Amino acid sequence: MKLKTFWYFTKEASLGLIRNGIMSFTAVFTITLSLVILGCFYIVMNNFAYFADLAKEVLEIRVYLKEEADPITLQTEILKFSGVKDVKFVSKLDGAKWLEKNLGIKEIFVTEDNPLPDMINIKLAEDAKVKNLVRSINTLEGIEEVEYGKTFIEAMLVIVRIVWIVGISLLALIGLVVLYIIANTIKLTVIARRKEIEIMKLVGATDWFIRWPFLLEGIFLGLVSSVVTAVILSKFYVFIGQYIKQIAPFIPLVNAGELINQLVMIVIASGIIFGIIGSVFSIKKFLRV
Amino acid sequence: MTVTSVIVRLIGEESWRKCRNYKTKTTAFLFEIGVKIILIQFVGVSKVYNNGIKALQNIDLKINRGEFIFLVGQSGAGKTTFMKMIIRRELPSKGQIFIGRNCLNKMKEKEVPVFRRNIGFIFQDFKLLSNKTVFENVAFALEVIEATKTEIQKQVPQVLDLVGLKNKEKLFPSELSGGEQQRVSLARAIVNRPLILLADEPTGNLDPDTAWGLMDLLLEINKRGTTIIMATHNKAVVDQLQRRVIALEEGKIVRDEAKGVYEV
Ligand SMILES: Nc1ncnc2c1ncn2[C@@H]1O[C@H](COP(=O)(O)OP(=O)(O)O)[C@@H](O)[C@H]1O
Ligand SMILES: [Mg+2]
Repeated sequence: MKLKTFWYFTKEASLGLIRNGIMSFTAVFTITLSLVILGCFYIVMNNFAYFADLAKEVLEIRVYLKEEADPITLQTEILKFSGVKDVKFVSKLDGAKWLEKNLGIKEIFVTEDNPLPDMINIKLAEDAKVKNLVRSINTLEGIEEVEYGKTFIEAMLVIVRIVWIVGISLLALIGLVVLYIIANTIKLTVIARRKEIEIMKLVGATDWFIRWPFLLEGIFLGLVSSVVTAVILSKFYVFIGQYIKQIAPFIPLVNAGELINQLVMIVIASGIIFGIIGSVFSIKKFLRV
Repeated sequence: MTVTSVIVRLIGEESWRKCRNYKTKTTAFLFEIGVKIILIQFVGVSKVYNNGIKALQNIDLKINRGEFIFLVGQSGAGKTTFMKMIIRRELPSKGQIFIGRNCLNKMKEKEVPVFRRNIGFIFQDFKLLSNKTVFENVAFALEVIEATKTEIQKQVPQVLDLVGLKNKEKLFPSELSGGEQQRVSLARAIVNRPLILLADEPTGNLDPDTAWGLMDLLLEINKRGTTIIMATHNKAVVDQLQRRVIALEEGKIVRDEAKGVYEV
């Protein structure tokens, strides 16, 4: 693209935005609002997911073995299940030692007639389906009992899933809203200039030559909205983060810097993409001359 | 059979029938020495619009380079449709159209813009952009085909001079008379030196004197080699100038005379 042509496009795009000043402003405002809502959900979603991960890290499934069970075979069997990250064998002797150390009971079990069972500790992978996993483990030979932080993990997983579903639907919905706003705003400029477009087509301008100014307009609307959104969200998140740290320091939060970087990129990219798609839609009809 | 007619058959008609390119330079030369070259050819062309209206029916027609043609007929006879087909605004429902070395039926969508740069047009309602000055309106046609600034600065004043509007280039269309506005639109149509000029009732909104002023300009442009097709209801102009007249009636050619009049 020639420099002169590029300037022409930029000039035309800014003219369009200025001519529809109030509409452009309203569009930026509404798109920003939508993106902020989207961003908040993204932040909440991420924190829930993060929390759930941490919970999984901490929580483990404990499998108590029968006296006659073969721990080596069982470990390899369990490792084969999906959702198992790692297994660790804790022998009855280790168990007794642990008790001894932590409870201060001396030399009662570290003998031949130790009543403690052997145990296998399972660390869960992120995508673990705890219920299914427990069921599968129970079908193995030599299992005495399976123990896990049942209700807590399950509740956590359900919440994460709900948040995801709501988040994705919201994403789709807000995406459509933003597209609609951009397409409509651009459509106004397009209609204001349909005569110009018709003449351009008749004197032999290429479709892309006609399209570019409108594309730039859409991109500009998306870009400005998303930059404003990014600023608002990052300020907001840092602020909330500090607040939560003060009143409830035990709640783990995703590191602000990392999340905001991601968020800014996602928001800006979607702003631009929405801008492009929105404007392409709104001029399509008018190019058939 | 003369030598010239043989040449025409070879490079003109035949090559168009096959939709094949022929050398533009050669045709320009032949045109200079007075050989007739077919520029526009309709072969069995019909146009049925989506609403079922048959705007054109079975049109067979040849137009040579450099001709000045009046297209007459009542409203709804198909004159505008005929011109829209030349500029490939509409495609034929049946038949084939050849313009120069292009076969419009087979032309790819992305070749259309460049093709259209060979054709100028003016309309009854001028179609000027009211927020641009006279100069900008004319320059617009060059800008959108990405001409350089130097080209624009050179060609726009030249063509405004030709249509007699040199001292009005800074005015806006609303500040001009109807005749002047039509001359701006004519300047825009010819600024990139088109091979063909289509004029759809260009004198329709002009008083007789102004209309004659415009006709003089069109004749001058025609003299410089541009083929002109003009749809008109202006009986006086058609009768006086005695050019080729093609009369349409309900989408059919009912008359095609070399030195025709408006009505028989
Ligand atoms: N875009 C269109 N869609 C449907 N019908 C059309 C369209 N343009 C023209 N027509 C119809 O085709 C016929 C010829 O129209 P037109 O070519 O404009 O005639 P003229 O220019 O001689 O008045 C008319 O009956 C008109 O109503
Ligand atoms: Mg008409």
